[in-house]
Amino acid sequence: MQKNDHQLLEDYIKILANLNEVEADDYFYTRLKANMERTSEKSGWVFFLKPSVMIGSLCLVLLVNGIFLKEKLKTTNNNSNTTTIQAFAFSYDQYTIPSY
Amino acid sequence: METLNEQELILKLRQGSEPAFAFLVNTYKNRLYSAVLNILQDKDDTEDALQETFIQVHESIAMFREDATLSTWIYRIAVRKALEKLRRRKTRQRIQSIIPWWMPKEKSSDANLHLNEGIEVEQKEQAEALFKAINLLPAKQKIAFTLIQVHGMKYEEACDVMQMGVKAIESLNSRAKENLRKKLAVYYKK
Repeated sequence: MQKNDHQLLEDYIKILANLNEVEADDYFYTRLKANMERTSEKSGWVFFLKPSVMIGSLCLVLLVNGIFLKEKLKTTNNNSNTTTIQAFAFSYDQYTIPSY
Repeated sequence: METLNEQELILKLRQGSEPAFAFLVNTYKNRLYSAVLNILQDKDDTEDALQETFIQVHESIAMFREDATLSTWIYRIAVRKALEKLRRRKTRQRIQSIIPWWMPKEKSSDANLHLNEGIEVEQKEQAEALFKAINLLPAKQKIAFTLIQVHGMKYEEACDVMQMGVKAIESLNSRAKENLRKKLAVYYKK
């Protein structure tokens, strides 16, 4: 059985010898040249004007801004808590009626 | 352009000669097309891989160290491009199976079988079955088998192209045959 399988596979492979070579079509070179021109136009972008670099930079700026904003909010909240207590105390002092 | 020997061709390509590049493309396009089509079994992917191959040849001819023949170097690039396509196809199929709504289903490569009219109907059926089975082989086995058995490349050439030792290529080829025998077993029984 194993030997039969071997023989059959070899027969299959022999069929492949009858296949004519497939050829690329006549306009292959024209399409290749057009593709190469497109590629060279793309690579002609100044590095920092490349869309990928610009989108990446924008994301980075937004991220840094977000971090700073978060930090700032945190600090402001802490300060505002302190400020509120101080203001309360201060306003309390302001409104206490001095006893003579 | 008149026929150029390899050294002259390399020199002219390095000088950026366009007729030399056209000569190179016309000399190699059919051989490469046939080899890559047998590996990828898809005309669009083959066209893409071949264009990428020639673009890379054009861009990196200055770095060609001439440690192999020009033909081997070009085949090497083409095989690498074909391998990239196969890997990308596999990744795409994996993603497609996990999140089918994310990616549209790829067209079956069966529709693109490139079998010529020059063979008899019965043989065509067998060849189709064989190509379907070849398509299911792991990428490296598929490339080794296709280059040697389908494209008729010698072992030594296949070794140079795949940058592997003779034993490794022989092993890939025999494992491919073993796998094909198993995959075709169902077809034999018909």
